[in-house]
Amino acid sequence: MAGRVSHGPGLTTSAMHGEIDPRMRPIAFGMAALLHELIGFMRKAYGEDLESALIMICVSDATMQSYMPGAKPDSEVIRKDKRDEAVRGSISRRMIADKTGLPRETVRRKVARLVACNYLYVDESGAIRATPRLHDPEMRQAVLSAHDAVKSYLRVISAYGVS
Amino acid sequence: MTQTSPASPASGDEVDPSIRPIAFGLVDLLFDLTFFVRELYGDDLDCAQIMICVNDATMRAFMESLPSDSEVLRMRAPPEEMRGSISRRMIAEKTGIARETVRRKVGMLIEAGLLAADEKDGVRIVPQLHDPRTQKLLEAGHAAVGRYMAVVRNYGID
Repeated sequence: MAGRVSHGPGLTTSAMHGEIDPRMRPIAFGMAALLHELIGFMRKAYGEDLESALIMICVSDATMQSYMPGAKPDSEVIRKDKRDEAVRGSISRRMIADKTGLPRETVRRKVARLVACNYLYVDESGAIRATPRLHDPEMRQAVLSAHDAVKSYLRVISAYGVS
Repeated sequence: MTQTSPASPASGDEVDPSIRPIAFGLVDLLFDLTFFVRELYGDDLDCAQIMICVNDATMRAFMESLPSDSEVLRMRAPPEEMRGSISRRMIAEKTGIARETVRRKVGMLIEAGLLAADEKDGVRIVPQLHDPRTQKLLEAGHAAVGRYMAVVRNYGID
């Protein structure tokens, strides 16, 4: 930014040495509130460390990818409380390591702990699946709250003209 | 496509039809945002949560009353007198992290140059928005939200 700018009475310009894209600050502001809510969701859903959360997210994705894409909004796939095991997907520990970038030994150790906590389980082929939890009212509420947090993020940034 | 309210009732062995699509969208969003958090704040979930909490307190003080065309939006760093701060006690209350853990981790984050204590011993974020890497990560996080909305809208949820 060239020269001095006016930004309200009583304010100094000493902190200013240039300009940033005006979209950045609203996005950062909205993202702080969104991440606060989503980390609360992750702690509730996946436990207390980010590596375990990343593994849970990766396995949940693999479990749902096998039947969700292409499912119609009013289909039984969407409405049924628990999915048949036959339609749910799974993922190997090696693929989890590849997708997350975590060391294989870390994945092996953390998967074992998540299995012990009953967040994950090992299927008959030795692959990993997420334990169904969407029938749990507390988990359903957490999912809806996370969606609300995303909508709130969009409202915040749109107030600054960011889409 | 019929739009579905996220609060639609479900009965018997049926689940609210918005739940599974939202959960499906969330796994991708969380994967991307976990990457974002680890890149910005490292692997310690407590430190990440503290940084996010302090960031919110620092920005909320001036952002909420800011007009959408304010010059503050373009500044590398708003003047210190505009920026907010938060006590360690309030960080503990807002995050649910034990006070002693907050005290210790805030100390680490100050030492790492990511947080700064003000003259009233409140804590505020050290400005990072001028950093191209931070901007790139924010753009990626914003794009991830856009992809999430595209996924859930595909199932009639808005």
